Amino acid sequence: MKDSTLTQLPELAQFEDFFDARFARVAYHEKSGIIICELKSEYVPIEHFKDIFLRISELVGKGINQKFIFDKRALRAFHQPSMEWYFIVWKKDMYQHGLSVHRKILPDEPWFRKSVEIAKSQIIQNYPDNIVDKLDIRYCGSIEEAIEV
Amino acid sequence: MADLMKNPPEAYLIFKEELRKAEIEKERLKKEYQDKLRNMDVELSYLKEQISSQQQMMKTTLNYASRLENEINGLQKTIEEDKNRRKGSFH
Repeated sequence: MKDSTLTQLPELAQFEDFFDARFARVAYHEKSGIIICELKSEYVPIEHFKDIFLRISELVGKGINQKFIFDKRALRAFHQPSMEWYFIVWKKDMYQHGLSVHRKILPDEPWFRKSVEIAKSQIIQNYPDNIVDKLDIRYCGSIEEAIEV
Repeated sequence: MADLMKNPPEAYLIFKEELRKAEIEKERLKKEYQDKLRNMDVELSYLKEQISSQQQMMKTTLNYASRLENEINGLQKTIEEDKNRRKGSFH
């Protein structure tokens, strides 16, 4: 018989804060292996961006690797080199640690969404050895939805 | 005179103490000002980076739109040529 605590999805309130800093808040739920990273600023300088994700790697390394929810709703500027690093280096590293499910929440602005789409297709084109086809990536409208799907 | 040097008047001592406090306050304010200035410089550099990223985003999007426009124009031209060729084949 399956353990119901493993299959039951957590409520947002059950997440524990990993850190809450100027540019991001990161929370996790150990049992379900879900990590939430909520960006808090319109723009995140690359050194801070990398720092946030390297800290998240610690959680993934500890086995909290079922799903990563990236809430980018606060963003208003898409920094290409940061996103390249996130997409090509970080995601690949995390995939090797068992993290393959990614849920993203984008800002509502259609121009931003389009820019992200264009930039992403460029990254995929420029880095043919990317692992995007091995990942389960979906876009969601809220954190609650991202936890569910 | 020698007695005055040995035992300075109270007003002088108070003045000296006030001066010392003022110096400490001056140093504190100077440090606070320098810290604020440094923070402002950092914020300004973030803002510059943000503007540059947004410009890059606009550039990428406009390049994409231009490429799309060219492709649509090319497609329209091909459709027109195809139409004309078909017309020609009937007469």
